[in-house]
Amino acid sequence: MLPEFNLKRPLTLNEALSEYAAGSYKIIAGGTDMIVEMRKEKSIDFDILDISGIPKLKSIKKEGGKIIIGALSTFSDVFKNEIVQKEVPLLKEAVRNAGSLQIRNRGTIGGNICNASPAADSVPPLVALDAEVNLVSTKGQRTVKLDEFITRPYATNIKEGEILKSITFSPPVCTGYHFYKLGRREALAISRMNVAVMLNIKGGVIEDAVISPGSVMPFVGRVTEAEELLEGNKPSKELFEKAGLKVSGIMIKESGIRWSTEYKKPVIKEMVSRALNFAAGTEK
Amino acid sequence: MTEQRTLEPEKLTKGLATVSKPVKRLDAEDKVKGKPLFADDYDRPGILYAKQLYSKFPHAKIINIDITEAQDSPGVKGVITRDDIPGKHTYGNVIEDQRALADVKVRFLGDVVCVVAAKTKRQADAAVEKVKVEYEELPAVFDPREALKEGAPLLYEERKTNAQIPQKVRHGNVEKGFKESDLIIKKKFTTPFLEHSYIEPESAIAFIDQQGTIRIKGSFQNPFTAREVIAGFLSMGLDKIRVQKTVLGGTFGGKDELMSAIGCRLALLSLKTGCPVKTTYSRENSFLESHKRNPFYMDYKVGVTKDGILKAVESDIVVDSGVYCSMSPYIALRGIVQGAGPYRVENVCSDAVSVYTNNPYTGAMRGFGSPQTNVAIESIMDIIAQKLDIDPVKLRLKNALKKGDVAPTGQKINHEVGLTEALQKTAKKIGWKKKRKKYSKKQTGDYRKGVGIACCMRGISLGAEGVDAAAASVSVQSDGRVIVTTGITDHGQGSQTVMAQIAADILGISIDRITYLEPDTSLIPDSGPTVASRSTFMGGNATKDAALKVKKRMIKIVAELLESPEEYVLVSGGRFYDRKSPDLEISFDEAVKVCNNKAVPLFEYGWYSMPAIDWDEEKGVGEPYFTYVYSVNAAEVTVDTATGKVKVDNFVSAHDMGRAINPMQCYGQMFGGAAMGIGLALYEEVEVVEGVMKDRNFDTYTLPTACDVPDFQGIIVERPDPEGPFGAKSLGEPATEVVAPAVLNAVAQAIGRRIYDLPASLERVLLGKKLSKYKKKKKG
Amino acid sequence: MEKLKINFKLNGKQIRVECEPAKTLLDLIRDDLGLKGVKRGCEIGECGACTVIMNGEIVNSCMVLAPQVEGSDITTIEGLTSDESLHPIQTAFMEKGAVQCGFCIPGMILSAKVLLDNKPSPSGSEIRTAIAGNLCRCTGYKQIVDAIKYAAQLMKNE
Ligand SMILES: Cc1cc2nc3c(=O)[nH]c(=O)nc-3n(C[C@H](O)[C@H](O)[C@H](O)COP(=O)(O)OP(=O)(O)OC[C@H]3O[C@@H](n4cnc5c(N)ncnc54)[C@H](O)[C@@H]3O)c2cc1C
Ligand code: FES
Ligand code: FES
Repeated sequence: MLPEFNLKRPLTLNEALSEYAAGSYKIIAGGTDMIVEMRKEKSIDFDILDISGIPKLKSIKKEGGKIIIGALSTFSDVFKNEIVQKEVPLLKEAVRNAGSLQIRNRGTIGGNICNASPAADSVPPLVALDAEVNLVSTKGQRTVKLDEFITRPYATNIKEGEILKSITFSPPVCTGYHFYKLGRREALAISRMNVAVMLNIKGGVIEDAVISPGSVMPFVGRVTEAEELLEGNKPSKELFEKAGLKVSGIMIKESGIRWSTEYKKPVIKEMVSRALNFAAGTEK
Repeated sequence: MTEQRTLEPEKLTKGLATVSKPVKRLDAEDKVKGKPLFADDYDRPGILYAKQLYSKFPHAKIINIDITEAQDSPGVKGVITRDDIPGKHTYGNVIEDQRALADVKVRFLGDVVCVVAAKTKRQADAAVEKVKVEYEELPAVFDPREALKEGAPLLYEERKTNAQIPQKVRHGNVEKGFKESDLIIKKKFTTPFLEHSYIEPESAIAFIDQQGTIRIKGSFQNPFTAREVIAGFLSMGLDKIRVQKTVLGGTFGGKDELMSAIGCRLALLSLKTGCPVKTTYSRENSFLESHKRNPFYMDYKVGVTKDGILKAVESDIVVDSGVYCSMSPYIALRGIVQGAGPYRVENVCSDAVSVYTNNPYTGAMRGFGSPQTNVAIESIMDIIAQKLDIDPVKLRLKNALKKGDVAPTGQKINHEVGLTEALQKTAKKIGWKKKRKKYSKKQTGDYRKGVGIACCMRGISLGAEGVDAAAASVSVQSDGRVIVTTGITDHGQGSQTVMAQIAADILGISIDRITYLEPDTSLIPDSGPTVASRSTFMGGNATKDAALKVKKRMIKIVAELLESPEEYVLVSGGRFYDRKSPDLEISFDEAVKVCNNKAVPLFEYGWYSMPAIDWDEEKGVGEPYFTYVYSVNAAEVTVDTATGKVKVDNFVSAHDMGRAINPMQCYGQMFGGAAMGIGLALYEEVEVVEGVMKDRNFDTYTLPTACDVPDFQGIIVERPDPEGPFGAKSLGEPATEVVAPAVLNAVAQAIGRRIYDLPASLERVLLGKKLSKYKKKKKG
Repeated sequence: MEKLKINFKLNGKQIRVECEPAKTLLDLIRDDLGLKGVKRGCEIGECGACTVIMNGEIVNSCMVLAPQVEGSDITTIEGLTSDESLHPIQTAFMEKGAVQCGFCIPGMILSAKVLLDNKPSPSGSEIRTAIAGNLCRCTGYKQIVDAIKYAAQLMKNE
């Protein structure tokens, strides 16, 4: 059973912002994290601002060369969207296997980001795409890079009264990409670890490489040291293995030895190297 | 076609209209429409909602319970604690140790100290928080092996030990057997706590009817047991309590003792308040309070000649029973009786003891002890095969029991045994020869494949576990329609349909004329618990008995009418006829009319009790079950050796079940059982750390989804049993009990390393050990 | 707590209810509106027993707050066909032995319906993905998958 609360359901963003500024609210979008969390509590000291009825936040479009994903776009919306399919298939692959179809039909990208779970499936690809989040409040707007927005597991630097409006990024220039999700089951599995990679290979040489893992580091972000190791080199299994090893090493440096390290250490190495092989077409 | 039967259905079913046919379930139409009422779907005006308060400690003395504030809380109509119990405090099938309301002590975190009933669920939730309980914490023990040691904290001081009733099997002389062996394998295995995971959580509603009888409807697997417990608790006559099982959303052995406790609490609350009282468990509380599959700690030693002839099996097993005994001693017994495999082993010495700990209690779950021991013996068979360089199928064929052999318990096998055939057919279907050879060559790359096989035998029905009898009734209505009832409950496995098929074929009418009723406990004699895969055999025989009696009576009247000798009169296709002169006939409906006009009653009770068995619990010798069924499973897997992920690509399940009364439902049992076994092998574990249950819902307790199981294949092997209805024996539990070892054997071939502790999680497959994020407290 | 008025379509009928905000769509449909074909299994979005169709897509009704259905079109198992007749998926489930205890079945059938509405001839693995959010402990899914394939055929022949 849910604890008691009052609920407001604004139908425009402005309405939502002024309501949000006036009361003591938490936002609910798709609810697939919020409802699970609220159910654990006997009582809560906030009310609920349901933003799911604001149509404006649900669009996916391309403007001025940038792709803009409305915060309320569900995993399914993203998966089915033509722009995404054509220009950022990496993102499409990343949301393909999130939760179940029922969850994908409700869970939003905005919620996935704001909940900031280390296992969030949309975050690594969006970080790989250098995405920015657009936040609005009655006081104005601001734009922050996603990897700065999420500060720690389950924490963002969202300010009081702010609503995440959309996520923006430029379509990537890459010749190959891959999203690798490892879960305990084939479906309905929270990522034990995941990783998004993109490679831009020109004339047989890696010009750009992006490696963005999830549930690996204590923060979200690209592993530039591993990326640099690739850039300027010819793609090869051995090289990708080295990059994997690098990510694994950095994981230990950043996170220290934890209960899961013994498992994660060899596995993230392999995941990264597999993902790179897929992206380069040197698939083993 | 992925399904296969070993005999031509036509041959089997000669003269039978429905038995052996894939008849549609009687309740299928209602179920696809979402119409059946499960327990939580019932409501009554003026209803109250009950909410229970759980213990705060894994082991503590209850000093005081203060309910005053809770009583005054808004909407509260009744509060019950140990002080309100009118009758017996304890119940239990084997040892009476279980309490619907904790009295002197709490022994685990799922013990219920107090229950409130209030007008709304919210009010009940709020009120239960206001109960103040004063505890004195006691030292606790969480490992059954520790609990056996001198000086370990005692769960029940008066018993002076945490050990329950030790079980053993003795046959031949193992020392001699080991001397005759060329190879001796010694290994240890463990299995974890598992949750039944019926998708419908526990629920019940109690009220008092106009006659003052207490009526309880709910998700009872065993309404008769529950009635007895409730009657004892309330100190009332059995006739004053009616327990009605509602449509069950699965149970698999799980909705048993806890349902009895829920029944006690609701009945008492409704007596106290005069109102109907209902409760439906959240999934978290269902996990917390219901029993689990027993963890087994198994030490095995198996001796074999260099030709692969099994010579001796020795096992020493400790079973975690948690706080209550439940069925644990018998689960331990089942485990060791079947724990030497379906083989000719002349020397067996097995000991198993279930032990109290402050963990959640454990008890019956589909398979009842043998899924655990099958993992051990069938893994060892593969280790032997590897060491002796004998093909695992051949090794099993060499040792497989046949009619006339002596089973590991010393019991002579007098029935037909379909094991060899099942082994051969399974091997063929999975493509054993080719695949085994291919996968045993050196594999390269991260993805490795393997095939594995495993087999078992299962004693049918309760056997040495208890007295076994069942009742049924058949009542022919004046319009020729028939009502069948039995005391066997349908958990979803489809036993209603099976009973109806049996009655239809005996009465020679079509199945759509039959209505099956599940009466409450006052309307049919106690038919025992629906456990031990006994429904078809016991209920089917009782139904057969009732139907035969009715038929006999009708034949007598028809014979007079047709002027034929009684022995010439047959019934089928809705008509009675003289087999010598088939023109002499009368329709079933006409015959009913004639009987009615002559005041011949067309109602009968049927009764069936199990043939005698002979088991000496003290000595561990005898015939624990009167007959057995045989199963073979084979799995093909792909293991990602870089991540430890296992995928079951193919799975074949073959069973000698006597006779498949309803093949479609039999396949349903096989495939459902196979999925559950894959869960046991790869995914499922309720982690309990220092008595605290860490997995309490389906987010971290991961059941296989549709994407985690392959397109199962089934093989029905039929060796009809003279004692079974139309030859049928049983299937429900065999379907799940030998799945895990088949999968593990396949994994072992793939990675060249063996997993001894379940489940074969990512970490275990990759590292050979489990990692846990939960730290145990330091000792001392 | 302030009650809210909610308007939505339930099984083709326009509904107007007043309800507490702290309720899920599951609570609303089962407890307040009495449609018991929607089942409660886990309340955390894992089991799929509470699946309903919302605006043409399947959702877990335990993962939707009641007020969030404002203006939506909801179908439950009770509204699968407009009369008492059987939908081909239901017929297929019966004939292929896909039903055991039946607790997961309403949700399972609704997931199958949306799948077949969008994809008339799904492959085995597409079917499995489509029902991965509906846990079934009884059947091992095989006969359910077979039934959905068979239903696809039946629907084509209609
Ligand atoms: C069964 C199940 C399986 C799941 N599987 C996966 C999986 O495989 N992969 C995965 O990544 N996730 C998974 N999830 C988690 C969840 O579905 C996702 O995180 C989802 O994206 C959350 O979105 P939502 O709209 O439902 O968020 P909500 O629950 O509505 O909100 C989540 C958080 O974000 C805040 N928020 C939401 N939108 C905004 C906004 N626009 N502005 C400001 N704050 C906002 C809320 O206040 C809340 O704190 C699963 C969840 C369940 C229940
Ligand atoms: S009850 Fe909603 S998914 Fe389980
Ligand atoms: S039929 Fe029982 S859960 Fe699916």
